[in-house]
Amino acid sequence: MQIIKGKTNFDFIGKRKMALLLSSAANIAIIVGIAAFGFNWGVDFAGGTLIEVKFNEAMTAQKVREGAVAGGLHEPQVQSIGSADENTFILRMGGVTQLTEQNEKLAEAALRALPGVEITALNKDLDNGLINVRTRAEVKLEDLKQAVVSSGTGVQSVTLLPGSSAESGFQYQITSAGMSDKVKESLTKGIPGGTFEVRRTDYVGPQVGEQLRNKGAAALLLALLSILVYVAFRFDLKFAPGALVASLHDVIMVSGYFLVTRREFNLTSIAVLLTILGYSINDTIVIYDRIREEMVRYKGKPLAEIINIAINDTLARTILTGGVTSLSLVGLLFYGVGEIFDFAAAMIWGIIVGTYSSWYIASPLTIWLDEREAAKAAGGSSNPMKAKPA
Amino acid sequence: MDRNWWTRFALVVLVAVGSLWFLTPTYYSMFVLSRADRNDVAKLEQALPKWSAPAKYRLSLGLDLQGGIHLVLRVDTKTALGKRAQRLAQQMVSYIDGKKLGKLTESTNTETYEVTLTAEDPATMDAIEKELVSSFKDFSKVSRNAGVLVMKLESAQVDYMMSEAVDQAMLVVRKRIDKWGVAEVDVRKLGTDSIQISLPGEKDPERAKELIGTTAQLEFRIVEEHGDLFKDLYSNTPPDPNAGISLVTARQDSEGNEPSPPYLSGTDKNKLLAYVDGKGGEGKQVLLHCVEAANGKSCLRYTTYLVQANGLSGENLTGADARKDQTTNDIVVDYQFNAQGGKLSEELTGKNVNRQMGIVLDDNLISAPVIREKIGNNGRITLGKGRSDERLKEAQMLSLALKSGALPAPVTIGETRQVGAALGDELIKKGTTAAVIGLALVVVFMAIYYKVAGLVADVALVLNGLLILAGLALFKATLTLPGIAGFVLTLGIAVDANVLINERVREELAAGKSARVAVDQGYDRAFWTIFDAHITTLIASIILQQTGTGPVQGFATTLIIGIIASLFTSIVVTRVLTTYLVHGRNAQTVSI
Repeated sequence: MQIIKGKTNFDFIGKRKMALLLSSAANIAIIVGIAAFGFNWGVDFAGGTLIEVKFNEAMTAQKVREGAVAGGLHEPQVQSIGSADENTFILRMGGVTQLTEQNEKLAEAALRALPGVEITALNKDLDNGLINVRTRAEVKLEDLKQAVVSSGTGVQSVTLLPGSSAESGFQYQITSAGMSDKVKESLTKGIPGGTFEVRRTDYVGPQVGEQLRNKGAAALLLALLSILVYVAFRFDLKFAPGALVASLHDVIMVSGYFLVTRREFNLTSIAVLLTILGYSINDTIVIYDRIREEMVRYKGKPLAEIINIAINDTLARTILTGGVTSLSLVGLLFYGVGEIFDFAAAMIWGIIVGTYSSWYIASPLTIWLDEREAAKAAGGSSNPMKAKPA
Repeated sequence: MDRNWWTRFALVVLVAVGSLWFLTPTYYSMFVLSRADRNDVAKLEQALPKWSAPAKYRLSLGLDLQGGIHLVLRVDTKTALGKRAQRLAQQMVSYIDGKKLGKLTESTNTETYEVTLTAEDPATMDAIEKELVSSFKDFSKVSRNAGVLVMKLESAQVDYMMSEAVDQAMLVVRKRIDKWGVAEVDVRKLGTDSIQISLPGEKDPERAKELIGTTAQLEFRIVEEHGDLFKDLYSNTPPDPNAGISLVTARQDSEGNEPSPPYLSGTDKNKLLAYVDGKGGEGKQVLLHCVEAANGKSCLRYTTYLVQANGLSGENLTGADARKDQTTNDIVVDYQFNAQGGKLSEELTGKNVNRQMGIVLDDNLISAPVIREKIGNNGRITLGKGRSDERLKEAQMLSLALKSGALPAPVTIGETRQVGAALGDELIKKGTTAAVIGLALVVVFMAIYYKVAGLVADVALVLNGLLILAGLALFKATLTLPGIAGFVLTLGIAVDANVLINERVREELAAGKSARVAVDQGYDRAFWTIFDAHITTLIASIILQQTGTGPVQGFATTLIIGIIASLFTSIVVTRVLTTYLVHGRNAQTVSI
């Protein structure tokens, strides 16, 4: 069986200008889109709390959202995952504990309003949901707890810190309850008759989120550079810019998947981008390899023609590989939930754009470089690319 | 068939059998043992047949698949270090004051760790500078302007102190987790300023706060003679026979690092603690000491000490240091108190000479050295000579414990990821179904498209899958959900190599070459393309492995092992098979 019978002779190079125009437009649109709308950052990068709940009753995302808000949650994002009959939802909120920007002031006011309690110092640690209070005289732990709870922030514990004495004052630490408790409470209150189980809880602190984001960007850049160095070393420096532009193109296009679908951009997305980077270069290299080989065989032919021959000769392989790799991901599309579904979908999209970019971007770019060089060295060899033996 | 072929054939068979062998512990832990015993190495060792690979080489499930909590704590090393620089600056001032070289005032920049010292009398600064530069080697001089000297913490010292701050926080965290009695806890350093903790089976993400809530409590408490307290307790109210509590009646440790017998020993901390709770008597308390396993990561057992209920707080400590005394060759820990602490220490140690002083961190008795004489501002704990490496490690642990009282490093929660066991089970089911579907689709497609050559590629593909799993088991890696996705993707990429080869062979055949020549040339020409393509993907995955965390790292590990396995299966394995089909049977045609 064969996908492509006999030799093909499609003119890929002839359409390079149109392809480049289209791709540039798409890329610029995506970059502008990211700048204007941003990604739908997951908790991995934005920080916050993610909770997955599964209801035993039929439920919709809309109902869960309304119920959660009615129960007292502040702006939760609710997303349904898996098939509709699974009744499983992901709730995302900013903040790691119940001591959030919305209610920290209320909690402080409630503490300061405690009758007969003189507070000499009060500081809040929102990242960890802690309030430290120093008072002149001893206070009942229960009073402190009640004050904060009544202001709308759940309390896990109140402790008297050691080193407290009548001379130096009494220091208390109030640890607020976590977001998952509040979600449970709000859903129970807001959706009467609903029964559910919490299946997963993720907290990511804001600093860690930022750190992960920087690390992800650094990883992408590093991978891109390392691969370029390898390409320059194995082939010719002239091949590297084509590979670079093509990879950048693919990374941007796959970012476009997350931009347009509004699916969550998280650590798994970075993994997809890196894998696509590897895959796309892989595809480009197979064609470069062929170009190098054909250059030896057809000495004297213009580079454009050689590239066309190389792309046509590897056409069956390129389509097959892309197809087979996509085929292996089909299972994940149907059985992958949440992140894994996005992984498979974005990968398949990446394979498509990766294949396209190897044909229409990576290879044609080498022609421009070649032409520029030829123009500079006017009268020099029309095919200055040297073919290193593999 | 030539000799070369037989060698390669033997290699392929060896690799295949070896992979299966490496997967036996994995198979037993997942399919033979019951769910609850999945992580129990001792039970696994019992269940394994004699010929099996060692139990430690097994593929375990990641927290996202088996349920549990993944925690990342961040240590605020910058704040810890700023405080430390400040404290050192105060020491400089009092040191110079003690030497009667002049009066200084200090100000410390807690961000750059620069100390600015101003002399009351600028004329004294020359002598002061000389003394400080030679005595405080952790600092280097930045500038000197008449009576103002600026010194900065050396960058090597900054790195060292930062990593020490993390170690210190780790010690405290470990002691606190220890209280929970969770089996299979894994606590490790992550990067330069974080601690990663895996708690399989834990359900309550809120518990993480217990680890960071209050700063560590360090105390010095005098150890009381317990006499027959433990013996009487043991005979009057015998413990539950299943609690793992026993009475030790004779010395077990030749070096005397144990309570005087008879004392109690237990393997389960919580049960032992519950048993002795409130049994110490008026003004006394029973505390436990952890006898560490050789790897220093877990407690073999716990022993009981009777200590006074009140003691001296460690908040007045200013520093501690483990080192080898150059003159006596003893391993020692030196520690310092501030003026107030020194006074209190003098009082406490003065009336308790020749008794043991318990060093207590968060209600764990870390060590109980004997008080030889009255101790004021400066104390020294001597651990002795012999086995100096082990001793030094012990001393470092002790100095970390002392420092956690002196200079606590603030810790915050970076990440908490909790997955319920039910979700984990579902993900395993969905993940494996997805992988099987993907694999089946690829296998069927290859067989239809390339016929016999496709079947050859399929054999290689299955072997490739086997190799990835065996490789993961060999590296004791964990299988995560993204790891399963990586597994599937790698199989797709592995097929690429065979597609390249087969297309090449078809081309050669189309060019009119004989079956044998076409196969040989097809393989030879495709080799470098396959190699280059694999290397570039490998580069991307290695970078992902180095920078990723948690589950994503699992994906990268799978990818790396998969790519290496794919190079082997697509180049060596399929060639051995194809060579047999074409050369071995002297075939004139090739089914491709």
